[in-house]
Amino acid sequence: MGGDSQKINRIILFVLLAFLWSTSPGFGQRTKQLTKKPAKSDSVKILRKKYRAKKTWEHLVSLPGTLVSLPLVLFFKVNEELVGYTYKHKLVPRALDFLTSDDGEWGLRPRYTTRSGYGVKLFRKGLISEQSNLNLTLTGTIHGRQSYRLWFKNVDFLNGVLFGEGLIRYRKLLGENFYGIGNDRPTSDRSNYDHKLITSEITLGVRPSKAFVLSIVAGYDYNKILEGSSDDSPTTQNKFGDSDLPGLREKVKVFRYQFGLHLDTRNRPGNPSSGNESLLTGTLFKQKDGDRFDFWKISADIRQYIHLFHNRLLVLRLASEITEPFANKEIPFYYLSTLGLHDSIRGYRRGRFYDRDFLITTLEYRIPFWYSVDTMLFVDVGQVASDILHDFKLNKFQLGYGLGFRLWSEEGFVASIELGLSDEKVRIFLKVE
Amino acid sequence: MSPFNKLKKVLLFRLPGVVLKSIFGLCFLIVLFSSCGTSHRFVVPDPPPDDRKPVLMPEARALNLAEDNVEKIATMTTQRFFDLSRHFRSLAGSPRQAFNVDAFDEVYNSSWFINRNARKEMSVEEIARGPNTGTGPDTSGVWLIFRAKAEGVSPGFFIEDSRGDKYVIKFDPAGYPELASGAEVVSTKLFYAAGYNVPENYIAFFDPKILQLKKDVNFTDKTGTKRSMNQQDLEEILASIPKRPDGLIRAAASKYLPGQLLGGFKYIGVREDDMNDFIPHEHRRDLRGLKVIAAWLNHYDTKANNSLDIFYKNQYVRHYLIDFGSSLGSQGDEPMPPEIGREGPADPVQTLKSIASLGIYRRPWEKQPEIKYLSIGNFSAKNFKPDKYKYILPNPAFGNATSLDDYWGTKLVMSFTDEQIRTAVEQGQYSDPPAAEYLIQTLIERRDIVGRYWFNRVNPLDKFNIQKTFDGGQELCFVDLAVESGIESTDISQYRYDLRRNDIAIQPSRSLQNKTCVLLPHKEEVLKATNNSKASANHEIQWEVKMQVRRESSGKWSKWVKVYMTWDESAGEFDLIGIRRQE
Repeated sequence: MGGDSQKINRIILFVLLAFLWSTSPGFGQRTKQLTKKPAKSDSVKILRKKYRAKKTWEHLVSLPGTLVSLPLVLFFKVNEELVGYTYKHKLVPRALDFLTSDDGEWGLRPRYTTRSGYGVKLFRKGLISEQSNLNLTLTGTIHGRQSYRLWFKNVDFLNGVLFGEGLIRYRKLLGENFYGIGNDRPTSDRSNYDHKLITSEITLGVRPSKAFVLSIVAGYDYNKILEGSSDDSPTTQNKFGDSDLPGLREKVKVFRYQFGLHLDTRNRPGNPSSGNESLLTGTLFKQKDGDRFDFWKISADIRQYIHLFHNRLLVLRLASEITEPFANKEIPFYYLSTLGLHDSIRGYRRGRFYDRDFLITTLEYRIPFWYSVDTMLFVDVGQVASDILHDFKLNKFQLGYGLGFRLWSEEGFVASIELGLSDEKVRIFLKVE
Repeated sequence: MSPFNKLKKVLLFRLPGVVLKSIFGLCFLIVLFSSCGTSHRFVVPDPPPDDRKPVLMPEARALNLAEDNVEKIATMTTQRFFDLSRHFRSLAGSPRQAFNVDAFDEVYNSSWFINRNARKEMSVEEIARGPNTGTGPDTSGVWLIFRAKAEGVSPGFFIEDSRGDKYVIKFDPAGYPELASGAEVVSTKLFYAAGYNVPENYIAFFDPKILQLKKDVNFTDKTGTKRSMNQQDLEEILASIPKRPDGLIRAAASKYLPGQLLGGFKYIGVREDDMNDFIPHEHRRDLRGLKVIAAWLNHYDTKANNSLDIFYKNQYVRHYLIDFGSSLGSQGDEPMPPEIGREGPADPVQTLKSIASLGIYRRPWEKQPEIKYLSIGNFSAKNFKPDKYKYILPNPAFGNATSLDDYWGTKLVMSFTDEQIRTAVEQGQYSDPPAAEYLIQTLIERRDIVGRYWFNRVNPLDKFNIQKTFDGGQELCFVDLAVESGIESTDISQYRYDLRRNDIAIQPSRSLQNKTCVLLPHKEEVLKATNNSKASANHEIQWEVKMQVRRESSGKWSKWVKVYMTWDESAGEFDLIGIRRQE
């Protein structure tokens, strides 16, 4: 026992001495000096003693503090080296340079999305029109989630008055949550399913003014629901039958026709302090090989930015979605309105609430944290209902709240980290726009 | 068990109790002796060797900005927090004083600093000239661009004029004419007059047609691609630069410094391979005191990268402060954001106050007035607190500054007269007279805020000298810097002094009425006292005059300053040997 104690003490002493020596000013330079050749042979060499920054007693008194801070300091030192190396060798710009063509039109970028995982994006700018961007995004997770997207966007005509976009996407979403239909399904009802989805769509739009966009979209979706691959909960197929959940055991192919209005009067995209952003869409869904699923969906999303005082900003959001089948038709359950995403009630699992309609309102309060960084506090309340106009009940609201930080640039770059809480879960969201 | 708990266990239980007790006992004794063992005798400090002796040229180095940031923000802050000796010194009221000060608490001339305006008032012509040795770049001939400026926040070129002189050309941000160039030149004049080494910075007006591209100028374009700069790139850059109605472009032209560039200096440690660099930078008075003048001029960007070492005339290393585009109301590419200088990055206290109060608490910088003049930017005296000024990064020299360093820095700031400030601002060549006047008045107001703050905390009696009286006696005269600079008046100032010989009071405390001279003992009294003295043969007799000042406004006696003298028997008069000022 005594021998062990002595050994430990000796090790501590050795580490401490090594640390004191290594952290003394000029450590690392001294070695260089010894091997350095004189720049001029005729220079006068003056041997002058350097003053010591600290006296011996100061080193001794600081010993306990040095020892306690040792792990932290070593950690920071390692970080210093890493950050310094990255900066010195310009690893980030060099990597970006390596991944971009000489004319800057082609390039490859890493990608991360909460839903589809890690991957890459290959882009080609300036095809057909100057602002156009053709990109191919390939993402996935080790658990098997996959998403492949080819998106040709911002193809402008007539000096940008008209524009067009095209999209083809394949998604394999594993372990999607389903708790049942309605606003008050307990967490114990959680099940999961896998969803294969192939989408293709073409958009045509017109911009009568800078703030106003009208668009029409024609699309085609191929859906296939598989047994849930998550071990956290039973599969949805085991809990529900096809009569309970239309589309659960059937491949569904639908055509989509959408009309959209987008109004954006924000004074600056990255950090708006006034104006609003409204999106209104109406979509018609028509089954391709059958007549079981025909339905329509209307959604509205309005955000108002109110400047209170000294860059304190209140963001009010009101969004609603109504999904209705045509007479004697049904809606595949995965086309129902859903709450529990990043853009709805933060703090709940994705797909926590399903029903035909939803209503959500969000209150977000932003306080400047530092230059181009805001703190935000938010409250999200919302509910799903089979008919929101009739079944809306004040006591049925689901509540989520939380805080976050957002880094912004006036041009529109926004990176945020948000912590959403509810009585069920704590969720962290990372977002880069 | 977590690593921290393991360490705690080892520290507290594995080390024998006797060892622990010994360590803490030793610490206690060391602190006790270090704070109590100060001699009352004045010891004239040995002057440090001249650091302008010829030496071998040190190796050039490029400071790593990112590494430096992590070091200052994380590593150094942690080390300082756990540096118990520093805390003990602070508790004992005995912080580590600067190393390069003389017996009168002044800084020696060195490769870092030359005593200028505070030592001997410079003429307005000298202020206007500053470090300049010429008239700036020749705008009548061609400017050959040999490099594009990629560092820093604003676009720029490296040019060679028709005389063969090389300059860095920096432009004003779009929408803010004269902002960065004006700040660059005005701050240059003031830093130079204060005593620091600075480059020759000129305001230049030139026709863009005189710019010519040299072959293979390295350039990074908008897409981040590195290639040779072409005429189109040049025209694109020029198109974004504001022009005057006559088509000329205004720019700040910074002349190449004479000598080999060795990279920036750090505010901590020494350059090991520079034989002349023997004083740890964090213990240099000139760097510690820079804190005050930098706050005055809103020069928050005092990181190592804004400094430069030059191997001057192949003889020695000379240390420069560079790049003042981010000073006064300018941040180089835009007006200075109001939070700069008032709040450090992610200030935990301010942030907590703001979040906890749900944003109702307004931070001091949020109360700033709007920008009044585009050419001046965000610069005001409102809510300026010199002691609370925040710099871009924790600066080890500033962190070590004691009130004596701050007092010294204040003397530099207060040495500038209104006329000198006006002259310096005139060199900024602002086209809008009210804007220039606003800058002058703001600098004067901020100067007085600095003076009022530090002269109230440290005894401002200074410039001690011994004069002969009409009856052949001698008197010790002084200057009350607070009165001299006009922030206090003689009517409300009262002085008192004690005369001591070898630490023994030889007369009761006396007051001075409307006088700034203390009558010293006559020769007979001195000789009598000398004969009766029981002083050790090893020590000569020291005379000490302890002085304090009281203002009507505060009603309290200030901290003391002690003036030490010896009696020169051969000349039959007192000699000043030094001063000691209460911390």
